Amino acid sequence: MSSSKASAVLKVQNVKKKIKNKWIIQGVSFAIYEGEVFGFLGPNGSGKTTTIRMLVDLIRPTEGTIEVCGKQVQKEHDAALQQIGSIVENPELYPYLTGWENLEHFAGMLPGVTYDRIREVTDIVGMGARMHDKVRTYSLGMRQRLGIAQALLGNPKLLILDEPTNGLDPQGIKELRAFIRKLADGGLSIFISSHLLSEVQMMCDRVAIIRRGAVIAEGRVSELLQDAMNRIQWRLHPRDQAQELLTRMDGVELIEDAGREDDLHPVDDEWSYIWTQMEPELVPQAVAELTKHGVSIYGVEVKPPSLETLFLTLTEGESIE
Amino acid sequence: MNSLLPLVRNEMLKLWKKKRFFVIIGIIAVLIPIFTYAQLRVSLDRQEQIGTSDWRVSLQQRINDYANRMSSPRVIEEWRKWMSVEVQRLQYYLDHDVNPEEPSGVTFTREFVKNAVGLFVPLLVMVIASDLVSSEHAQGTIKLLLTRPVSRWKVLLSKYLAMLLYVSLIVTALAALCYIISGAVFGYGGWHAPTLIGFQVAGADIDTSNVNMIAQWRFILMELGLVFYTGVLVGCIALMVSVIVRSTAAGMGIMLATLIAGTILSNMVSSWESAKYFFMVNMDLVRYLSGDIPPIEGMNLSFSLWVLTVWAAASIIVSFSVFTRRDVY
Repeated sequence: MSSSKASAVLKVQNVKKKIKNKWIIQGVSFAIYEGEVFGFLGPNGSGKTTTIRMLVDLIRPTEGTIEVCGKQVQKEHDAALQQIGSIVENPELYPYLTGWENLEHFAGMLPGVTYDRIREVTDIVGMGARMHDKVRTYSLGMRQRLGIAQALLGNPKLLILDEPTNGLDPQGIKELRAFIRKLADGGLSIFISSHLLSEVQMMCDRVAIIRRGAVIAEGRVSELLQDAMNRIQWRLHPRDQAQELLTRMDGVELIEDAGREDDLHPVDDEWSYIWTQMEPELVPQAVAELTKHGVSIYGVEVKPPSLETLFLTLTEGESIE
Repeated sequence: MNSLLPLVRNEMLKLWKKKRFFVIIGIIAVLIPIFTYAQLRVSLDRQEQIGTSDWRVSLQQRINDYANRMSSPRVIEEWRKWMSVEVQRLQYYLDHDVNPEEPSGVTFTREFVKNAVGLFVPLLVMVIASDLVSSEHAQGTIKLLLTRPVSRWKVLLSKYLAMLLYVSLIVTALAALCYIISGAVFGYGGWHAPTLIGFQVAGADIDTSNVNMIAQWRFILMELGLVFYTGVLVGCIALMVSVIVRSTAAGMGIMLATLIAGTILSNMVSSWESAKYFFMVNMDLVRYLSGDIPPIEGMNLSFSLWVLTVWAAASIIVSFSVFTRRDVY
């Protein structure tokens, strides 16, 4: 999606924030390019929301710069914010107004937004007839839609969503995921913060991982997963002999204790599981070797660990939830 | 500047949809009939006591009454002063053959507005203004409001302008409802009844050299202008509190305490001279028109206007500098 790395829609450079002599954000840098879905991953309290609030000029950074389409958010508030649509934390709208009135309200604050555009965004998010009910009566999913409609009103280049799947049911999450992909295909850049690795894994092209107010890794979701893609899961018998044979091979490493996260018992009556770290190209050779020595193989597959495991290693076991 | 218009429209719409204005209309519509009835009882009672409906006799009776009480040695000095001024004022009315309380809807409105300026109108304004900003914080909508391509000072300015418009609406609605409801009992006439203004209180004496006789409707217009001014000041202060205190309940509490403290102070500060720089003691501007004794010696209309203006300006400066700089969490 983000093959053209030429134009950065959002550029965050070494942003820091000090509150009462404490560095809440200790240095956050990343860039988002056109048409890409960018994940901002970190446990609760790691500074995700504070960072987002700095992106949209609700909080002033102590140091560093934030540029949206080349405009500095802090110096050219109007020009920069015109390119951003955002939902910070929950989609909070005026409960005593109808959905339509809410959109009218925010349209009044944007230059050149017509009634046609309001109708257009309500169609995009699929609000339909409930548009003219009071927001007070909306379900969380409806509010989320209205929130996104509000964020899309001004035809932004960048959409910022803070924990968008919070409180949605699985069906809602699925719809949201498809919706976000559709928007990104239309050229919109989307920033999604999340504390759930699976969410980022499924929705995002690139990811920055934040921990205790600092970005500890940034890259393509697949690149950060490169090591993990070389994790092979074996189902075979007998276990001891296979382990011995595999350790003897070049480029093959046994992973101890790996079954825990999949909730698989390593040793069963009929077969057992083994996990190895190896290039997938070596698999046929390993299979031949094992078969030659009389090991029965019931299954071999490339099985990346969940991002949770990866994240735990990156953050040295800090709890995620 | 053309981007300001939709912002003000937004603020007006939100206040309207919050139904705050209906609450205010409701309060006025319930209270005025009660006061109208009370007023009716008072005049009926007086008539019964004196046995005549001639206002001159009734006025003379009141003057004598005050004079008697003044001569009693047990009367507090301050009351004596107040009664002395009152006697001279009423005497002036009598001498010029002007009825100060000619019963009509217009007179009732005049008296009601005069009594409403100190506490009633400020409370109504407070209902509108004290959560203009804090409610946005409480709902979390402040985040949406401030992440638009609109400067923060414009957002706040639009709230000030909306407040200004609603204060005018409140004052107009108050006067209109007052006239309509009380007129049903006292009659809708009285627009041209003569009214005296320009009494100046100097110590225990009253200076009548500048007294003019004007039509009652002009007097009411002047009154409403002053009420509007007080209302705007209260609105400014309430907005400042609303910017600083993010909780609506706490903001309302602070405003309520301040306003009530003002009325209590007005009644007891006559010997504490520097208290006259509090805005709460200066809110009752109408008393200068009708020639009542001011709470503290040396206060006059222009002094009070100045004090209110300085307070309003200071509160505007504080709220703008806080609002445009603060980090929003």
